Amino acid sequence: MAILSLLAIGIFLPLFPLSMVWTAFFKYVPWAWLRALILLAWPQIGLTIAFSTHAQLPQWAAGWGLLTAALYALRMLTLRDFSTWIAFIAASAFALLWIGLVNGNSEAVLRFQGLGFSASFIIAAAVVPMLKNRLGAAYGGLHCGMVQRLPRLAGVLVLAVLAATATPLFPSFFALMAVLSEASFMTAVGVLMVWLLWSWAAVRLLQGFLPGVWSRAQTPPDLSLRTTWLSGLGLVTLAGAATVLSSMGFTGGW
Amino acid sequence: MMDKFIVLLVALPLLTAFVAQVLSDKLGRRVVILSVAAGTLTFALAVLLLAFKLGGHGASRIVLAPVWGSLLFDPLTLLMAVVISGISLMVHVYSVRYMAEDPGYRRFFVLLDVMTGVLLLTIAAGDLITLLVGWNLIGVVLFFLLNHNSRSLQAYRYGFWSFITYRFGDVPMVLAALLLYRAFGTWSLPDIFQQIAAHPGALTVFGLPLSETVAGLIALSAFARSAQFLLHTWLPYTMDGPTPVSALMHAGIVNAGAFIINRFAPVFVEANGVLHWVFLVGLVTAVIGSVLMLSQNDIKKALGYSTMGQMGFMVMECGVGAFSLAVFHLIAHGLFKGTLFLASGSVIGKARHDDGVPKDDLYTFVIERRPTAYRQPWILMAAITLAVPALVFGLAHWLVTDSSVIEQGAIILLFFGWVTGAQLLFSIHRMDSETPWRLVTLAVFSLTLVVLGYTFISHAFDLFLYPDAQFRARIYAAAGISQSEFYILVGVLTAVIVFGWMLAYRAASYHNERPKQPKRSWLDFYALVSRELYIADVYALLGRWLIGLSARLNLYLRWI
Repeated sequence: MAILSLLAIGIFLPLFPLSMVWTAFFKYVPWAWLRALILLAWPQIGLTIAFSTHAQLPQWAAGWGLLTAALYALRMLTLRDFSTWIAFIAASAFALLWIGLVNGNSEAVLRFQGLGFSASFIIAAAVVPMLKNRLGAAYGGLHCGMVQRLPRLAGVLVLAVLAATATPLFPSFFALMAVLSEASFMTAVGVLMVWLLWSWAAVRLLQGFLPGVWSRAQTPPDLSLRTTWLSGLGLVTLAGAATVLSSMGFTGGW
Repeated sequence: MMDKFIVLLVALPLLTAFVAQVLSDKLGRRVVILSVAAGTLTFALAVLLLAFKLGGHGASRIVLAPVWGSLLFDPLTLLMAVVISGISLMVHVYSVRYMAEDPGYRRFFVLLDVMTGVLLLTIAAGDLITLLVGWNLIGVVLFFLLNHNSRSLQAYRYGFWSFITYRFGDVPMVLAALLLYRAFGTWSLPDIFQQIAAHPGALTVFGLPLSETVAGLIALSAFARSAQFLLHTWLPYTMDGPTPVSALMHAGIVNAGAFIINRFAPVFVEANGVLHWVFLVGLVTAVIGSVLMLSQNDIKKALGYSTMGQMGFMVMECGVGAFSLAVFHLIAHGLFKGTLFLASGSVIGKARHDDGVPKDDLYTFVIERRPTAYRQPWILMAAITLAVPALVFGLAHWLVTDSSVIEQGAIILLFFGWVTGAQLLFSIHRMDSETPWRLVTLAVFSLTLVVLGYTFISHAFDLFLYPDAQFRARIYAAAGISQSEFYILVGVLTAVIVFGWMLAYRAASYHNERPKQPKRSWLDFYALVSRELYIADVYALLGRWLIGLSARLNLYLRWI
């Protein structure tokens, strides 16, 4: 029973190789709204199993979680498919929750951290269909020079990627800080290396979309003003909520 | 009451950026009017607040939220705010016409405003989280400013170099913040500094000495920001961004290293030995930056390496305990480097018609390398060269301090000043001039004026930034070594320098002017320097290896 619980937690708070269940599952979910829901629910299910079964978690699981996070962050460097990229960064971020879980953090704190990461990935998940509808695929390197031809979509894409990679003032930044505040020095160094790899992967991903000269004969329509406003509002709400909540003390850790 | 305006100072550029972005479709290119007007207001407010502070208002901390979100109203904040808002305003005004034909005109001004706001947030941060937010966002916004020309893949590549180095520098800053938070249970900077002063021997939760560990981490973060050796490769390659961005970066952003060391001065005074490392890194950076600058045949890269050398000197000043002098240096460097960048376009334009170089004594000496046939007696000139600058620097220092004992840091800086002054006199002593003594007198007079101005202003900075004389002395003490070792070091260095100068004069007077074939070792050294010591190549190799590993892992694991 304990092993089964551990395996279940390892799937929902992805631990390699169980994490492959998450990435394979996420990649094949067709609708953006469902992906957003899954992103929100996945780590929470893992935490629910962990806290409801009172499973005895081995100490090595925290280290394994960090290694899983580092593995997926490293693998993100050569990803061009945006959907897979989101699946990998989510796996990397959710795996970091093991650090707090093994260290005995309270359920509320961990749920807050999980929510912080999940919420930051949602906008990115919403951008995938926007790219697919216009470019045929959410795949970097196919059509460069988006800044000149599709400036609104490029702007939303940039902000979504920044939100996902724990840039202040998005919730993932505060969630990362909360994870760090409970970690030992060496673990904190490891977590920050993961953060560094996320940033590198983000720049490489955007390189396949933003700079360069537009190569197609035709330019698809840019985002409508309404969609741009909605996306912007979503991002501002996320950042604003994270800023206000964290500055008031609802930080998930400090 | 007035101190609360510091919130407005930070908020104004950020609000302007937001409004300009929201109204950009409606206002069109007129958003620049909004942007420049807000920049002017921000600068005026910064000057007003500084004047208020100079009027005697005490330091305070404005708390906006219970956990984080506080701003400091203190001398360092206000001084830096005037510099940043001033340079930002100049860059704004310059960009109105310079960027006029750019397709991303509006986006550029929005990003400029965000950058100004983020810089002001960083320098005014009253707690560690606010500081981390600002510190981190500077790198992000700079990345997008450097990549403003979105057609250029090269600009994107080099923008990435600066971004990843900045992010690397964020890592030690976050670690330092975490250590401080876990040691004292607060994010507030004044509270932390108070606790450090009360418990100077505190250990981190990992058993390391807190002050030394935190100071080391902060210094590392400063090194990344200020392009110190091994973390410098991004700086000379960031010239693909628009000229106003280069000006803003070289005049303001890259100076952040000296700011952050000054901000954490209360930690550094408790950290034994860390400032020695800071000095060493600064010294190596200054020397290597200058050597690389001299060997470049690309003027923009040469300017980049010139900034690196200046940053090395600035960090070195921190390393000898002259913290406020580093701030003065930061401002002076910001102004002259900003001017160089902003004027570069018009200088190039004018030079196409007329190089503007007068064919006078200086021209024939420097450009045509035609020294005078008549030479002054070399012993006399060497004596003047060595004695006059020493006298000038000694006099200047004596005028601003009532203490007969000079701090070690001040002696080292006087030392550098002395060598620079001697170099100046050496370079002119053989000029083809009808009135060589007049020339030497004028040079000595200029040197005296510069030195006196520099000394008085830096002393005023010292009094303004660190009014507590005891604290000032503690900063110098933290950077000091034992007196006996110091005097031996100074004695040996003085002897080496004097001997070197005498040899140089003698060689210049008697040596055969015929050029010699360079030696093989010299050519090897030149090859090494021209490839910029292969440091960027090593990083590129490491990067390619990691990317290769990533690709192999993905193939092996079938991309899931």
